[in-house]
Amino acid sequence: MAERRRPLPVQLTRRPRWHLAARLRGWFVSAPPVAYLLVFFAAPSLIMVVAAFRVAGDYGGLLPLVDTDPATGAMRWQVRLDNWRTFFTLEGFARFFADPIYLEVFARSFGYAAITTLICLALGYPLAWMIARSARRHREALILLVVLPFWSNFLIRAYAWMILLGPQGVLSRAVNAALGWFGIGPVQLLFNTFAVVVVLVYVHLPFMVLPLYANLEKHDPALVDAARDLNANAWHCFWRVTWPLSLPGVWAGAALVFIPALGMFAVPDLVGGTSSLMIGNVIKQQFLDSRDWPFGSVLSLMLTLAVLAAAAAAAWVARRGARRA
Amino acid sequence: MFLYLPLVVVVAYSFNDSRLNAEWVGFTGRWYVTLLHDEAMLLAARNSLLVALTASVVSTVLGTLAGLALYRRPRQRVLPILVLTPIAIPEVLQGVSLLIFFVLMNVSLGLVSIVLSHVAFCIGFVAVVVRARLQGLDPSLIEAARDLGATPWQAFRRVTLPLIAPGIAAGALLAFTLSLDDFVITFFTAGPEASTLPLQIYSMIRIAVTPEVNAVSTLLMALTLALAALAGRIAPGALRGRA
Amino acid sequence: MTNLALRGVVKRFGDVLAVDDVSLDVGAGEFFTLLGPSGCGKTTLLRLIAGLEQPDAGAVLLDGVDLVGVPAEKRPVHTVFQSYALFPHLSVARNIAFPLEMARVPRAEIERRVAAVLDDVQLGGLARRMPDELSGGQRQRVAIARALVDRPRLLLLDEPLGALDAKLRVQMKFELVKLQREVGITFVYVTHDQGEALALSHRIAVMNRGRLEQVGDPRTIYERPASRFVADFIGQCNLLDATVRRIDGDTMELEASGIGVCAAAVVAGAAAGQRGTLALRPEAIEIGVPLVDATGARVQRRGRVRDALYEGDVTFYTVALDDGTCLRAMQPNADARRAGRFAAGAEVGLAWPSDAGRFLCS
Repeated sequence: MAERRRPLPVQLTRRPRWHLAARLRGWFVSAPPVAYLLVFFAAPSLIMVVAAFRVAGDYGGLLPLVDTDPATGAMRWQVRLDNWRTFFTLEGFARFFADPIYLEVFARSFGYAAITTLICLALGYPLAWMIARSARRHREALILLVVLPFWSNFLIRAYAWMILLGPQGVLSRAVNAALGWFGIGPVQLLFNTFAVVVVLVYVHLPFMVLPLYANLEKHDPALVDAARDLNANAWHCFWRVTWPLSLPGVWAGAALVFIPALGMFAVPDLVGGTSSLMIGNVIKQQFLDSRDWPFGSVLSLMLTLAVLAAAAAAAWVARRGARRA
Repeated sequence: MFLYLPLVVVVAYSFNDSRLNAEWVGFTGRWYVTLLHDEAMLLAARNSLLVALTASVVSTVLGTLAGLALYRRPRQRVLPILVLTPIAIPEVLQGVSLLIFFVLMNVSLGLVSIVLSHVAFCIGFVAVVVRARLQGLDPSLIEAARDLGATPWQAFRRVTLPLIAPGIAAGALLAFTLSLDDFVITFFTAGPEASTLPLQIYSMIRIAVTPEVNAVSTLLMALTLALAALAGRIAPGALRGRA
Repeated sequence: MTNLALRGVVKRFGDVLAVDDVSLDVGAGEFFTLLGPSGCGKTTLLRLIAGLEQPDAGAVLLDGVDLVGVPAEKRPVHTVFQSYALFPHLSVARNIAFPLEMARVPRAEIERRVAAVLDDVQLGGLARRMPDELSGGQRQRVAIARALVDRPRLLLLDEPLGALDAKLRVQMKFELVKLQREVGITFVYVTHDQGEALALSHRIAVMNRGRLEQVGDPRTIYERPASRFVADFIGQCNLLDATVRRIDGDTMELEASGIGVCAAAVVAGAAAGQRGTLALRPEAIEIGVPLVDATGARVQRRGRVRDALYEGDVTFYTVALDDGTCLRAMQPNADARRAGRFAAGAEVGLAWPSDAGRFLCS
């Protein structure tokens, strides 16, 4: 079986070059997405932050910092050291804090988001738990069933609820009929807080179920068996074993529900009434209706801060819980 | 189940022979016919598909690269922040900031701006799916390839890529669906003229509700169902990769 | 002729010193085994030879050429991984063809060589199967075939028999030995199973915590262990603290705990007054013998049987001496039928040839 033997490598590269090549490859791989996102995500965000400090233009938008000289066609800065106050101001912030309506909207948004999160948790946890407990071959199918509605268009889902909750809708009439027996007058189910919360919950439920399921599925059933063996009843088994272990999933789900819910605007727009405006709606108004961009940016900045605060709080609690456990 | 009731209702009513979403009058397909003749709707649909196709291709490429980078250098901080934040923050903020950005950069608002915006937030989703798939790979396979004479590039092309291909496909499908469905970000970056399906549906809902909406919704649902089934075939379990 | 030489190889992972200044030589065509408990650094050493890691210091010389800095894909060295690492998306034939494709061998020749090597490992008809359709033993052979098909200078095997069941393992041991002798390629084999090492190798390197404890052929390692660790790790051994009292030509006199004064084989480098270990293998101790006058050629003691473990072919006795020290003695049961079996509590005499006890300096 004499075969040609492979030649030994002739040139020997020293170690540093070999490592360098690996490093360069790493940069090469991450460069395109990083570049793209810097331009289309990081930059716009920064610009928005800056915009919060600027002044509105005459026809809306932002008062331009740069202008084209009609004579020469060259760009020239309008801003100079002496007139910078016309371009930058804190007026937006003042207005935000002075007029109580904005804080009210914020508070309401927080409230809606919080209620939505809690209801999603209350509904989603048992659902996730049931699926995680069910026979292995059913699990994939069940999860698919839960996720499937999520794959349909979000507007359609809101619209579907509009049908159901409208005065002619099935649900409305059923509920009113039932209430009628008690002599209570017909209630309106649409265009109010109730509708907003219902749709918010409906839209965000999968976001709560999925992380919870991912977490619960990994629980070792032997742990619960061990607890029962050590004389824990069903409630204790849940509260002292399952629940603490599922907390990371709970926080993940809560974050995935709370944060987007906070910024929702389409839902209140479609199914909410005038008294159930959320911060998203106000931002949209400022940008597209009143065209007061600086103020809209101020609101967006406030929303961003709120989101960051929520995320930080979630992370902090999660870390504390992890350390304690 | 509670989750399905509303959707079933919409589907049912799309066949309802009545202008109102109230009583069941009779079975008809005429709303679907009206749909086919609705110019605005057809244009919007064409735009949506075009945008979704382009956005999904670009974001799949970029997202796969991002997923690879996330997998290889888990301790780095810049990339994860850039890639994952768009997934988590409210879409309103992204839409608004992109609007300002485009206007300042003198990019006219239209299909192009829509595509650019969609890519920005789809990258993250694709990256997560690809990364999950990579984490499921046995690392000794790559080592074996290198040991047997493959350069890093060859090992990637002949071993890694074929094995994560299902993940990439799932990510592409995910991006396509997200782009097709997106409302909020598109709303801000579309400008006065361009229209996509979700935008069209939105204005229909707000302005004049006709059962055409039901018909459109049903069709759209059928499409997403088909896509979901396709994704399930290609990469079972990839759906869970997100959480 | 030396095929592989390691000189002062060091590898650190953070604070942990995985390989601590290892130097050894492997001859061409040798079946060389790295043996040691988990964490001793043997797998790391293997990966350093393969090029999957780079050493922090030292040289790895293949036929005189230093491979440090050369990446794995350029080394004419192949590895059979513990998990076999067969590419799941490629058929058996494509798996085996992989290194040849990397080396740009022409298509026709690839097919010829793949078919030839499949015959060598007796997997002739399975070329088109996918890895997940094969049994563990078949997968292992594919992994070996894949690593051998382009005639590397060195084949590295990382605990390849670990995933197989006991019977298959025995069969594969024979086959591996046969394969290596036929193919003539140097094998560097890693395992924690000392039985495997003793059975398969031309030479063994025993490693502990990143250092080499002893290098030698199986007989030497077993019968003349160089340190307490080696004596303990290979086979079973009674280890007693001992001090040298006197050296007399070709015997030594030791004072060992529990046994008192006795004779043992002379070991080079030992001096009077030195402390160390007396190593005595259980199979060397005869149990139940009538005690005759000591002739000096045998050491005799009396003790009481603590327990007896019947293992089918042999019985292990734990015998307690006067001061409580326990010795383990092994008796083949074929003998025991003649000599009688001993139950717990029985008083017995023990005897062993004095040169069966070895003094270890550590």
